[in-house]
Amino acid sequence: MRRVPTEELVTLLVRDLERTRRIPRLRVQFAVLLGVGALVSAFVLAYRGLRPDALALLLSGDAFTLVAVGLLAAALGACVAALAFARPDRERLARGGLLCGAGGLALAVGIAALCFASAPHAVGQAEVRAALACGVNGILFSVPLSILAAFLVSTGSPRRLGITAAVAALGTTAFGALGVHFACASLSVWHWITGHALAPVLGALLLVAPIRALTVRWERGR
Amino acid sequence: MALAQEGDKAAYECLLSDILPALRSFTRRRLGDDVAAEDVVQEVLLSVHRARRTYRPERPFEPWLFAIARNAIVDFQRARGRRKEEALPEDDVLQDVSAPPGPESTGAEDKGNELSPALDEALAKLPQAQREAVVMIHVEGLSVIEAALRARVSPGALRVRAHRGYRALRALLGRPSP
Repeated sequence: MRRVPTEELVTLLVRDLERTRRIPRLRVQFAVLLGVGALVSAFVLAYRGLRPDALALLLSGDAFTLVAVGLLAAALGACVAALAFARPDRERLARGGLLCGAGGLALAVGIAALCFASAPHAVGQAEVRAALACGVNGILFSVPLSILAAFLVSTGSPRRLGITAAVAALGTTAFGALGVHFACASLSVWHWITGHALAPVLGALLLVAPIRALTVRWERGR
Repeated sequence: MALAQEGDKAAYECLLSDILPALRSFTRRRLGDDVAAEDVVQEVLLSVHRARRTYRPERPFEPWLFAIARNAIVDFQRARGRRKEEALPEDDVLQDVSAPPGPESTGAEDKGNELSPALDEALAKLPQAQREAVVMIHVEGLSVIEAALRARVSPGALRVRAHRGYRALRALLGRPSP
């Protein structure tokens, strides 16, 4: 394969230069994602209705609160991380966001699982079906937000597309799952863990390929 | 860089020429190998070119540039590790099956420009991205950098496409892998 001297490469790059649209500030993109994420959660609540004891449960500080805080951490942290991964000089912020999001969610699920283990009960088929329904609901409501996240990520230059897409899917699905968590009437800790807290993980697995494909498509078009 | 984002070619040329010594010194210090360092410098320049829209003028330029350089070094070291583990087939499959030189031909002048019907047919069966890579490098004689610029992918990605293309060609033409 023929090689080009570096000085000649500079000339080639200069010749190839075109006016380019600068990426928006990270905080602007994050605010857009956060705003639409809040709308998604609000839409889920409007569609399914807020559970009557939501505030009391939230203030109780038990597994319900932990799952809610974990989902919020996942939503905020993973969305920041996905946007930051698309900028070369923001990798530290990206790692911090990922740690905050995935770590927060894992910690919340872990402690909630301990709560469940201290008072276990048999899990029937109906409960598995209900958990799956809640999980799928949370993911479906998040699809428009995931598309928006793919678009915002494509305005940058993500180095590891697969990881960036998975993190974006995790964060955006967490918004939908958060809405579902406040709307679902279940009192089972097992259901909160599997149907709500683990929905972003399932969402990341299911949505990573489409988000990646959309990002590649839009990035090439720029 | 802000001017380059506006399309100012003179400012861009000035910027790229200015950063070259710092990049060379940075990569040589990290890799300890002048040839490898120069390869990485080229990768960095291409990455700067592709990622130029991600620079924000209110943030300092050096951390942005050296983050790209650090990533390029890491990618280069990973790729070098992979190449050691798995020897990739070379493009001699094309030389093997390119049009045989006629009696008046020295062979060298035709190399890479004419394709035998078998190779032509095999090329047509390759996925588009691999075919493009093989054709740009072997038939059109472009360098990896020039081909990567045209295909709007990194040189690494283009090399992988080309190598996969060579491997697929080898299989299609019934040639054993080296």
